[in-house]
Amino acid sequence: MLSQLLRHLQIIGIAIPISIGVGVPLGILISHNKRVSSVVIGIAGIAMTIPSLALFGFMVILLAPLKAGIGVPPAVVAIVIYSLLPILRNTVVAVHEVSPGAIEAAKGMGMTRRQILLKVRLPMAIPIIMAGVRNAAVMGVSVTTIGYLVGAQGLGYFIFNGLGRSRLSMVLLGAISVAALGIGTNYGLLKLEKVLTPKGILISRDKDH
Amino acid sequence: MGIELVNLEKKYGDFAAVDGLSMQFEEKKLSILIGPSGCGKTTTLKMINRLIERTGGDILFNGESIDTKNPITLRRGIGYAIQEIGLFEHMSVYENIAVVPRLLKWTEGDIRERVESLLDLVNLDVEETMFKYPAQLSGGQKQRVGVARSLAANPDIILMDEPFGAIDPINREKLQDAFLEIQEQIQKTILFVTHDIREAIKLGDRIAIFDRGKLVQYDDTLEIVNNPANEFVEDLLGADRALKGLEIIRVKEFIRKGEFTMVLLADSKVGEAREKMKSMGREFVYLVNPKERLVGYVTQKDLLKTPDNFLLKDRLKPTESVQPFSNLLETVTRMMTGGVTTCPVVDAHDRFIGVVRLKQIFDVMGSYQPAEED
Repeated sequence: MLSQLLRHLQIIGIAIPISIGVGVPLGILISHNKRVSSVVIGIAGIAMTIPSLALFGFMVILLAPLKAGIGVPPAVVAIVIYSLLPILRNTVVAVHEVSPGAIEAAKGMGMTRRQILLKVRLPMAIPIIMAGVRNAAVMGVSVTTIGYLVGAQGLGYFIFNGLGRSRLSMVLLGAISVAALGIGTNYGLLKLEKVLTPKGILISRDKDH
Repeated sequence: MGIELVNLEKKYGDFAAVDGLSMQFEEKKLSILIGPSGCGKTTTLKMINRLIERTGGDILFNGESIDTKNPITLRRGIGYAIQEIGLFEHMSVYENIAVVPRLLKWTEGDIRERVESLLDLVNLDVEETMFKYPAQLSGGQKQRVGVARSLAANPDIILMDEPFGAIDPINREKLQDAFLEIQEQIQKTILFVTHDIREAIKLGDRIAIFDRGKLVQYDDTLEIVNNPANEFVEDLLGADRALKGLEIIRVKEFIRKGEFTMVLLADSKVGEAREKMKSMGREFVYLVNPKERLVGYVTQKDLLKTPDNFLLKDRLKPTESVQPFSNLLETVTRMMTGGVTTCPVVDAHDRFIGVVRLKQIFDVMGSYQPAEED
């Protein structure tokens, strides 16, 4: 049980940071070009519509020539592809929708583009970017279940073995622990979001609600 | 620093938003840019800090083209305040004001000193406000911080784009009054865009009126009010322009001392006072306390049936008063409230200085001749 849980966490723990590492910078890069960003978000959106089972299978074939077709690698790549969209989309929206007044003031005061990005846009965008990360991570937790089918193990082990042996208790054990892990992940990231969000933004969001 | 626009032009395709504009903004004066929306006033303002790049002509600071500096350096030397204020929500008031000084690499000690003196200048409590976040401030307070931020690095030039436009009328008046006082102290070259003619008349040393990318009239505020160049300017000023003109004239130029009034101690005996008033031919007399503070007035009529040994203060009636810095419109309003044709002028400590009379104000208004009809 514990080893499968750890494996599940390992897959998420590798995939989500990669997603963030790709999605956030890419999102920032494309955010100031409306056409490029809608194309990229469109592609990411299409990737998400691929049935997860098919995507995992596809990864097996794609990674086979690299001798990595079975096990953790195809699962990680599939999760990265899945979780990219919410992170990318939220980053683009967050960076783009920082109040135009603040951007105009920043420009007028003589901040460079880089300074505007680092000192104004990003700090203000953190809550929305983090919401995307939470979204991606929670989805990743549940989709990782399918990783069992490509040899990655994880909590999917209980679900699929339980189904195969018609053992409801085993299926429930797997399903409940995946759900609990999802809730726990969301809660943990929510706490992290609170820590990362600048105090002034927290106050202003509290006021709006 | 004086600013000169030379044949300045901004074209979007065939459309000229600013069409060959040449004018000078005087040093240390508050110049208003006003006109209907789309007249080119904001475009002109933003070409000065190169938020909008011009398509022709030149802009000179003390004779030197703004192109000699890169836009980033240029902007750091120019204050900028806008209607949306644009405070950075994730930064405290202190950090917001410190943005440009930090970009210019001031020491933290200098910045702290500057932030404190600026908050003081814009009438915000230093201790209470400095480490608050924008979300914890009222609209008026935010705009004061916005003004403080535009002054942060002590620029010679400040550009303001409808800075009080989003504030409710009562707080707007307060901000305008405060801003006038600030400008009196700091004496910057300020370019101020507005579409509110009352604000223009109240704040501007000079007013530039724009229409369709061209300058219609540019002159001292009083001159604009007195002699509108054409119908367009007249319409902009509105039917009550004579009253608006009163708003920029201060009482201090009209104070009369002595010749029309009499001042007595409130503790004087009624009998003596009656004699004095009769011999001087005074209908009424202002009363002051031993510290020369104005306390009210009495009329001859009030004293008619009062025994001689009573004191004047037994018959005292309260009076409206104005200060030398009050404007004439406010003064007329007070006279109407009190139903009097003479209003006492006092200093900040309520000490009697003199009076201003309704007749004088009518004389001023008489000088606003209606423009000739074609």
